[in-house]
Amino acid sequence: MDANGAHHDPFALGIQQLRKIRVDLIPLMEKYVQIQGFDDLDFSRESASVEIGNWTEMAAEERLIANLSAFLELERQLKRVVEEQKDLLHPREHVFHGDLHSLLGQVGALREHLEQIGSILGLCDQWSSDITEVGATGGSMFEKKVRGYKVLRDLSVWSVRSVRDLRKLQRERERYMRESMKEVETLMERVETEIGRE
Amino acid sequence: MPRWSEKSEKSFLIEHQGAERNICAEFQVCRLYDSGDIVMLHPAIIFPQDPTLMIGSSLTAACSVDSDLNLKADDLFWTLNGKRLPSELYTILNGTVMGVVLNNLNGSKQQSGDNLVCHGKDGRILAGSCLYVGLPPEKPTNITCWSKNMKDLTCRWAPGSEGEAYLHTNYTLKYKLRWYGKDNTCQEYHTMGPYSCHIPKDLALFTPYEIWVEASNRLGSTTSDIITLDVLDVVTTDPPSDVHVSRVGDLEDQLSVRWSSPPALKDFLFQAKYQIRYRVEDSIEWKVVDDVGNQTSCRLAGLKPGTVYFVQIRCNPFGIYGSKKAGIWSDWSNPTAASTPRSERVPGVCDPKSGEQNSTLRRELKQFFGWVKKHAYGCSNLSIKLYDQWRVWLQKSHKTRNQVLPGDKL
Repeated sequence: MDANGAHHDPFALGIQQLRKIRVDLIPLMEKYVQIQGFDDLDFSRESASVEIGNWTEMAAEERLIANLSAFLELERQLKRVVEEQKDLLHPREHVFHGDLHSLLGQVGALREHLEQIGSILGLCDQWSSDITEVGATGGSMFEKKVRGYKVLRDLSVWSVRSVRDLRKLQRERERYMRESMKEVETLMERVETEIGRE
Repeated sequence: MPRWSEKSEKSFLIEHQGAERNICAEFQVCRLYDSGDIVMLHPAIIFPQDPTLMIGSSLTAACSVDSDLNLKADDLFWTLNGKRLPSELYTILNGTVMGVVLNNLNGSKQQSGDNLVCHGKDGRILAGSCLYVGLPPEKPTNITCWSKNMKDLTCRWAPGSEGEAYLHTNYTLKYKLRWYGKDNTCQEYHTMGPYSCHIPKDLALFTPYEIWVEASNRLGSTTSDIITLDVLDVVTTDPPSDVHVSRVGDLEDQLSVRWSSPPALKDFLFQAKYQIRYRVEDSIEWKVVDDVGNQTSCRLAGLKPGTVYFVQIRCNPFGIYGSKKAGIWSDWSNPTAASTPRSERVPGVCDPKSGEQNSTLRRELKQFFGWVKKHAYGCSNLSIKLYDQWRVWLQKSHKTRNQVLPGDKL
C-alpha cells in the first residue's frame, strides 16, 4: 500500500512503521555485535523471550494486546539499554548511540500507534503505557552487553511477527467492514421492497 | 600448563569466596543471607568480574555454578571472545567451581572489553566477565588552540598512541589564568574532532592562560605539558564574505575577484592578509595566490579561455590590539564559480597563418610572464595595469593584422 493508503489505514501505517524498524535494526544489530565483540559468540541456545504459544489460535483482541504488551516491554527495556550504553560506548560511537536513540523513538511511536488501533477496536485502557519504570540499571558489564543484544534480537523477532499480526487484524477488519456493508445493503434492499409494496 | 597445589587451590577458594560476596553485593547476582549462605540468582558467576589488567599479565578466573542446577564443574568450558579455550588451561577447584588461567594477556580486542564466558555442556552461556587489558594512557601532545573572533577558545591535541589503543581513555582539558587563576575544566568535548574541546565564553584578554590535558583510563592517568597562550595571539575569523568573481571585459584569460573583510573583527584594531586559491572545474588541483596582502580585490590572470573556475578566499587577522604573533588562517570561503570568455579567434585549417600567430602569441605571453614573475608576480596593481595595456595593444594589432589578411589571401 502506498503512503496515502497507509495514511487512511491504521494497520497499513503500523506495518510501515514495523518495516522501517526492521530495516534500521539490521545494520544496528551488526554494529552492536561488532562493538561488543559478540561476532563469534553463539547466542542461538539462548531462547528469545518471544513466546509463540497458541499464537495461531489467538483472537484479534488477544493478538493486539499481546503486541502492545510486547512493544511496551521492549520500549522499557530499550530505554534501559540506551541509558546503559550511553555510559559504556566510546564517544566516537556517538552516531551508533544516536541510532539506538532513534530506534527507541520509533518503538515509542509504534507503541502509541498500536494503542490508537486498540482504541479503534474498542480495547481502551486494557494496558498500562507507563514507560517510566525502566528497571534498575545494574549488573556486570557482560550482563549489560548481553541485555542490549537480547533486546535488539527480541525487537527484531517482534518486528517480523507483528507485521503478520497486523496483516491478520487488517484482513479481519476488512472482512468485518465488508460484512457490515453487506448487512446494510440487505437492509436497504428490504426497506426498498417494503416501500415498493406499499 | 598451570599447576595447582593444594595450598594455592585453598587460598584461591578462600579468596574467591570473598570475591563472590563482593560480586554479590556489587552486581546483585545473588542473595546473601545473615547465615553467610549465598543463593545465586543466575546459573553461574565468574570471578573476578570485569577485571582491568596490564598487557602481558596473567589472570586466574573461576566459574561457580549454582549447585541446584545439577551442573558439574567438569561439564563446563570457557570461551574468550567466542573462541573456545583449551582444556589444558582449566582446573576443577571443586564440584561446582571450574578455574581457568590465562597467561601473557594481549590488549583487549575491543574497547568494550574481551568477553570471557563460562558455558554449560550444551554450549549455553552460563556467565560472562569482561576483561579490560591494556596500558596506562600516554601523555597527550601537540596541544593547539584558536579563538574564533576572540569570543571563544577551541583546543585540539594528539593522544598518546599506546594508551588509547585498547582501553577507553577519558581526556579533560584544563585551563587557568597564568599567575592568579584557579583551575577551570572545559565542558564541550569533540566539537572539532575526537580530541578537542570548546570553551565558549568567559575568557580574559591580555593575560596569558595555562592550558593542559589530563588523560585517564582504567589503568592510570597522566598529564600533558602545559602550554601558555594569550587569546589575542591565536585569533582566527570567519572566511571573507560576499566573494564575487566576474569577467574583466572581454579579456579571455582573466577574472576579477572581490570580497569583504570579515565583519566580526571590524571593530577591533587588526590587520588582515588574504590568500586566494582557484582551480578549473574538472581539476582538484588548487593554485594559490598567497601575496594578495590586505587588498579586498584581485585580478587572476593567465587563465584558460572559456573555462569555469572555482575561487576561494581566506583571511588571516593579525596584530590584534598589537599582538606580535602571526595569526591563524580562517577556513576557506565557499567556492564561487565564474567562467572566462571564450576565445573569439577559432583556430582553423582555413587560416594558414593561425599556427604562426599562435606561436607568436605564445612567445609574447611567455616573455610577459617571465617579466611579471621576475618583477611583480601576483596581484600588484602595477603588473595588472601593465598587462591590461599590453593585452589591449595586442588585440588592436591582431585586428589590424586580420583586416589585412583577407587581402593577402587574394
